[in-house]
Amino acid sequence: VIPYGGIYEFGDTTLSLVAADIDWGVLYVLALGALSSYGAVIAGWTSKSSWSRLGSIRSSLQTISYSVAMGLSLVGVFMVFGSLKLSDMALAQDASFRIFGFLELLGWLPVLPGWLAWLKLPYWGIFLQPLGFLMFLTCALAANKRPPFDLPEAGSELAGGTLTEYSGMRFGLFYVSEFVQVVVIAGLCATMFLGGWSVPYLTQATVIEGIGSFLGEGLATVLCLLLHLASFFTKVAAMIWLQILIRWSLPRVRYDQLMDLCWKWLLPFSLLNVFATAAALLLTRSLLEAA
Amino acid sequence: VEVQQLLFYALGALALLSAVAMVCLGRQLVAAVLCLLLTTVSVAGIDVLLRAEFVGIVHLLVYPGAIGIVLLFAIVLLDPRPDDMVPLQRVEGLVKVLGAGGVLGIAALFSLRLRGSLASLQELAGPVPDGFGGHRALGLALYGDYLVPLEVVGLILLTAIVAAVVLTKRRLD
Repeated sequence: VIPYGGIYEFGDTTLSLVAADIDWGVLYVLALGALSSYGAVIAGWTSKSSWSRLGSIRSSLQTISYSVAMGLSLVGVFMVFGSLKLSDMALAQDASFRIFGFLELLGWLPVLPGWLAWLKLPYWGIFLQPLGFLMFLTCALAANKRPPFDLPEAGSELAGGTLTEYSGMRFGLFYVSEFVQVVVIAGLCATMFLGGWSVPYLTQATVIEGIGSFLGEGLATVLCLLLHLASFFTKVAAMIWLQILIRWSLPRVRYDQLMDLCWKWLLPFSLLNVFATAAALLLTRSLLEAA
Repeated sequence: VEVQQLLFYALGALALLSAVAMVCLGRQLVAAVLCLLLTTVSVAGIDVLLRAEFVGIVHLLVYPGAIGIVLLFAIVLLDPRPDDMVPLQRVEGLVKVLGAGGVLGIAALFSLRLRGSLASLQELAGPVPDGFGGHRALGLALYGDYLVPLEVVGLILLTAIVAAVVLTKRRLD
């Protein structure tokens, strides 16, 4: 579902670097993520131990709370890119915009002076939806139940929580699934907020034309493909690094703090973000039409 | 078409069997909830087969993703023992079985009547328009043609939430 490269044309054939390009790709990932929490809940319940039962209660409550906030924090991104398809989102981010372009749009300056017009940012989700990015990352970490949100396991309080009674390969499977989720979260963040496979300031057309003028178009396309692959995997690696950094730097939150964070901060702010994004989109669209 | 029909029958059978299993497992609550989830998942699969992919995926997100977890949460939190529960009365059980049988009978009658006319129904409906069942078509329908009913449904749900809070709060006080 997550595209690791764009669409490339070699003569007559087109190569698309996404395994399954479905229209509602993000929702599919979210739905599977929501299903994955059953593992922890059922594991805790079947252990017949008090630690595990407390862990599975915490796990279920944490999952439902944070999946609501996670969905809402992504709505802004859907609105900006106008799609639920991850490959469309990545393609839309293969561009850049002038930071102070809004001054021109609002009519405060007729034409931007040179140095202001020169300041550009990539058209990435993290710059268009900074609040959305922070909230999505928080919710994703919490939904994955990794520290600092590892309340269902909580070694010091629950002696391992849902995983208390598991050892050997069974414990290993739980652990592996957690790390697979880390990679999935990194891929989602990279695609929706960090421009996917795109290279900042260099669109696909620019790269192919630039190299193609002296290497031929076929070779230039291959080089562009490799460049995009490298770009995507660098971003994924950076997001994994960030998650592991967070995991080892922050202490575990208390349970009431966890619930406060979700229902009193993330949920209202993600709703506000939706309204603010809608207002901004309406304003820009009407101004663009007027201009 | 053949594969789709096979999938439809498989999913339909799975939905029915897991629904029946859920009722039969009444006393083992966690297993019953898992059966209920299996039913909802197979119904979501049928949605996808009917080219309502968006509805299917939202189905998957809402029922197993949220409601099932809430049910499990309540069960694990309260941990009801089998002896706490009121035993099923024989008459009550009989009424339930008769009711379920009646519904099944009506469904069987309908399907028998419809069997000959299914092909003509498909012809009547014509080819599926492009983008049918997608999020765009659904969004335009919900927020364009059916905006007022949608708002009314929202108000009803809000009233229900407020009522639930008020009722349980009084009981707690």
